[in-house]
Amino acid sequence: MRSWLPITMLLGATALAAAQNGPAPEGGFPGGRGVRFLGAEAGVPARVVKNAPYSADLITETTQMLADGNRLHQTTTARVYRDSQGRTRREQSLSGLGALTGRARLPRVVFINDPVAGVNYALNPEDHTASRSAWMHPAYGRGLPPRLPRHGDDKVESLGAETMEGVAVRGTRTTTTIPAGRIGNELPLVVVTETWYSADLDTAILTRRSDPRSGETVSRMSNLVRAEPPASLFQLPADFKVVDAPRPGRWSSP
Amino acid sequence: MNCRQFLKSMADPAATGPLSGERLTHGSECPACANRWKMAEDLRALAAQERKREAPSRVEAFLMAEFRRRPVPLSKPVATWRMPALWAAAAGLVLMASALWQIPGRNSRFVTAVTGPAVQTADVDDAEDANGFIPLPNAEALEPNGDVNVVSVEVPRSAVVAAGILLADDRASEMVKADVMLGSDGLARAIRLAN
Repeated sequence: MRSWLPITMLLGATALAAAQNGPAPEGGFPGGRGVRFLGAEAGVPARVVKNAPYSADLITETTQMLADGNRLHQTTTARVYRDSQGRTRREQSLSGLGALTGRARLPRVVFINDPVAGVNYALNPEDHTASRSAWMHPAYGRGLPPRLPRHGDDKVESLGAETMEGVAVRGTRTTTTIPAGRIGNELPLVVVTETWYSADLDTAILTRRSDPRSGETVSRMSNLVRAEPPASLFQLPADFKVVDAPRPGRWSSP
Repeated sequence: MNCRQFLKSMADPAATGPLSGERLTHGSECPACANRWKMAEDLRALAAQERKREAPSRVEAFLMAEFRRRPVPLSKPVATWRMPALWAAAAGLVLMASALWQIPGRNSRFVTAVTGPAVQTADVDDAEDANGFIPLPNAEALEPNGDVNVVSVEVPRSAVVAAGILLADDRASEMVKADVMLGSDGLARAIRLAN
């Protein structure tokens, strides 16, 4: 009896440890085991939109069909806010990290961009810390070669007007064809992007992009409310410990 | 031919000797790939050289004789009545672990595991921007005027490989710090490895 008791305890510990992180996804690393969230930094928005406040849920779904018949489906959500002064807040789930973090439980990060105070914050609501970075014109991505460069000719067509989430939107479909041989492709590649844009809010309510290389991505707003969000949403909570980014836009200028 | 195709072509066992054809064209434009080819050639030469070296046959014979002379000590056989008990205990624990896993709220409902091989891969030397960010394969391009944010995480190297970035897989379980650039839709677009 004494000899199998330790074995039973060992098996139990192993099973419980496995349950903590879930089953290992096939072909990937075990469900996010060991993944740690270290921090975040808010980037500066490309532009500031004033006098068009709203709040909404932003849901993005991506679907990819792989060459081996497998299918990847990923959903990420965010709650977004904008006030009349152009301040924005984004409460972002980190499920969009996909294969990098597997099933790891990562905190929902809050990004605040405040052009009025000239500051950006990335809040970690779990440990009540905030990373502060200065408002400076973004340089990120400028040197980043586009993963899917524009190699083809664009054909733009109007999809007409509709109402989505209670606002008037106009649809545009852009079809980009990359001719055969341009990037080593044997056949022409067709990339289709549909955008339903609200002029009142100066933002897209729905975008749908289909690309044979990256699959289909649908990003849509829901629960849209056209009202001034509470000012407190754009302020640093008093009980948050602020850590200044090592240097302004540390990832924009090494 | 691009860098990825060049790397894939290097896996061909017949791809030895001086660069030629498309590989030569690409190698003349891409010093990094030319260096990789040279390194592979040097390694092949070294391997061929080392293949000739082996332990003297008398050493092997001595070791084999010694292994045979020393029987491996067997542990005390387990009593037959204990085996069903062990199996029953193991089955119970597995069921308990499964039940724990099914408890709602254990995982974020938005989290989706992404598994399986990536369609495309990127070499860490490829397409790296001035800030060290490497576009993730299979990810959409950053919009020219799109908003981006960055999160920092520590992940196993194997996870970076699973995301389509080519890394040596001899230290797959090691952790690596990474900055991940998110697009305006919250999806990862590019990655920068800290170490």
